[in-house]
Amino acid sequence: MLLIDKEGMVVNPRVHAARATSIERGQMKLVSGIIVHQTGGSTAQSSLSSYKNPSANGAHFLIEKEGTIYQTASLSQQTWHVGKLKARCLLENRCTPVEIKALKTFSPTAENKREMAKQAPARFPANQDSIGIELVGEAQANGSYVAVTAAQNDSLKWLVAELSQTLGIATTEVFRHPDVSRKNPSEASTAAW
Amino acid sequence: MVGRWWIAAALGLAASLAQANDGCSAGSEFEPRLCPSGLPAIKQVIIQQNGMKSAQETNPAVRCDDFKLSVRQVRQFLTQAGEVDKQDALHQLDWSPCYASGEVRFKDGRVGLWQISQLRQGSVRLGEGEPVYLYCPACRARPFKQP
Repeated sequence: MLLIDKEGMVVNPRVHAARATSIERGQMKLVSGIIVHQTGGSTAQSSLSSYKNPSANGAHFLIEKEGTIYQTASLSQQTWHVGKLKARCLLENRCTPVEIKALKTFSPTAENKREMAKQAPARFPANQDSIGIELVGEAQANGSYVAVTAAQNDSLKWLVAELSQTLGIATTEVFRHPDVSRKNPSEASTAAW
Repeated sequence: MVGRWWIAAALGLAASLAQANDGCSAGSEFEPRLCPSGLPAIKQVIIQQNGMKSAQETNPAVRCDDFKLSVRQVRQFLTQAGEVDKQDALHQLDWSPCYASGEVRFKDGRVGLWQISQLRQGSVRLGEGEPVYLYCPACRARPFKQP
């Protein structure tokens, strides 16, 4: 069980505070799930530096290759880390005929709008109601993300378990980024929790 | 004291005006902040790959044959696209498995490698550094899919 202070910051020796209010995008009233990402960069420092930009976007946690966990945004604040949602009913083979018909016209914007009219878990967790965890990891020349390190997976497993227990998040509501929106399928593909 | 306050206020106003006048759009939850790319004028575009499917796409049903750009369309993309932050390119914008790629020669003598995806995202790599990440919401040529 994690201790979370009134600012939404985790108080635990394994979590280093590196809050960047510039990436916070308004109050998050409810947490429905967790989305696991890879940064696209090779060091935590490059992400932490970019978060200083007033228009920067990021996620709530950042895990360095050697396993150090940074908390980069308050858990009571949204961050824009998800992008447009894919239709969850497609993945779970439960789309209605009306949804199937609508999905025949390719439009990620319209698809996202339809999804956002639902409540999680009928849709995937979104910016409004999810915690984002970034794993430091670059995309290689062939477009594939590097493998997540064992140290990162150890930290990720601990963090996901603690957040799930503390905030009451079901294990079925933890996703890799490409599961919930249109992203490079190799992103976080080697993440394990 | 009052004089110092006015100087501070004037400096703050100048800073905010500079930010407003940097040529960048504000951005939103699903549209990234776009800034002028600063790429030099184009001399020549060479297409090396067209209608390609990313090796990262594991779904065999996905086809990219319909994503074939002309030299004119590539030139338009590189001219009209704005620069986006790497984080926004990777996290905010939609990824497409379909892409075209090639070389671009600029009038200032520099040579770059470009890549453009079907969802109007692209990049230009000049030398060994990070590529310039691009997004072109204004590009509406037929091969592109509208988001």
